[in-house]
Amino acid sequence: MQDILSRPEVQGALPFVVALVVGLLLKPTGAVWSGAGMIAGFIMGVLLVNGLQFEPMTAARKTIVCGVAAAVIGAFFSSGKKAGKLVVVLLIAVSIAAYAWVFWTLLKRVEGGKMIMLVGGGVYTCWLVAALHGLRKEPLQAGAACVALAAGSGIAVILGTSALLGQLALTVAAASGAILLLALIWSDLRIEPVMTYPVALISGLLGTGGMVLAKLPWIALLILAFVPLAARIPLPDGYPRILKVILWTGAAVVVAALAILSVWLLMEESGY
Amino acid sequence: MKKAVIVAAMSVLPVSAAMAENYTVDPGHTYPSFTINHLGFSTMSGKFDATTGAFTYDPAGKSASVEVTIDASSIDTGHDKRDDHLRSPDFLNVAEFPEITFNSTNVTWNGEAPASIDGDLTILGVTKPVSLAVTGMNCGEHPFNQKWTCGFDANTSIKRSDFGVNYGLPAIGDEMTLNFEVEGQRDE
Repeated sequence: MQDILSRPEVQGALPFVVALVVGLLLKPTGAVWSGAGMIAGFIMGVLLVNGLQFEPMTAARKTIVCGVAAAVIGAFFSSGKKAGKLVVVLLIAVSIAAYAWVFWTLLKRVEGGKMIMLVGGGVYTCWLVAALHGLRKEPLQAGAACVALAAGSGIAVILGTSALLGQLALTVAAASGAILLLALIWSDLRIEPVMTYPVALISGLLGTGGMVLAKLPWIALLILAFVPLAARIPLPDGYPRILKVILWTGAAVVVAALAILSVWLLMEESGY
Repeated sequence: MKKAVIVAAMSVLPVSAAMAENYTVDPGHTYPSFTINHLGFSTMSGKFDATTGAFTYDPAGKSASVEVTIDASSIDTGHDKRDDHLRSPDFLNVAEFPEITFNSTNVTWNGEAPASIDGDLTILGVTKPVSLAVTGMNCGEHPFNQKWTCGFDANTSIKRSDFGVNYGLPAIGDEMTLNFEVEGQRDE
């Protein structure tokens, strides 16, 4: 059984299935909470990749805790009645606190180039939080950005020599893909901060982790920062939903692929 | 009375210090190493290139202690990409946990030779008690610099999962052998 659960295809498929089922189950509650299926899929993936072990409390494990907490905070702001600008300021403030906690071990010790990387990673994470929050009312665009951002982060970080951090990001991508599929089928389904906030925070933290804890080149994060913008390309209203999803996801994936390509070109040949 | 106790203590202290000789670990001749099963095919080995520490040794008084600090980022398996991976959060997570340490708590003796060293091994911030089997301990004047030098070989087996190093289990072995080959020169 353990052999089956440790297979990459299973670790990708199970978070997708769990997110799909939870998203479907939550749809009758008004469709606002379907995005919560993403975090359910993520938790499934965490169980497969990390298990329930949280000692020692590493940056990767702190990121898991932050991701789940972000879903709870995102859920609080998912009713759609809160003031948008104030919410994004609050989410960024919470993200800065989460970022400081996750990388505290490094923040209190490193200096020079590594500190610049850490500051840059913080700006990157806050940017993702703001940019994905801006897409919260557009489920297809938000879903496309979430899938491409998490997938791009995951593959880039794996190439940047940390499979653990990369697998966690790919779990987010798989779970986000399930919610995007639901959003494609039901036009009234909303994604909201319950999904956009944890995806942004987890992707930001894992991307930064790949850079400061492993060997992910910073240029990859700079390129990945454009993923939410790529999912904003204007499309005619008359386009079928399926075509819109393909185009928005395609645009976001192209940017993510450029980030992956940059890592591929900058890292030496692997394999051992 | 108080004065008498202080005087007595002062008279004993230098004697004890003189008996337990202090040694500083020679990083150029101290390379902790390990072996681990690789995917069930073979036993892979690696070492750490940067180690500091100190030990005390008094065979007559059957007293000894050792403290070793290993720079985790100095891991060297002879393959740069693999070493980068071993430094990553998948394994040693050296950015967050830059040091691996061993601090002895007790030494058992076989005659005038140390037989085993019990102590606390810390990896990834997790501390577990381990017992090193001492396979050799030799002292003498160094032929090149004429300094009094002692060295010892010791080893133990650990489960890396006990320290939270879980990546790649069970394909990459859980149990690994740690070898400590330590040399030190007596402090002047």
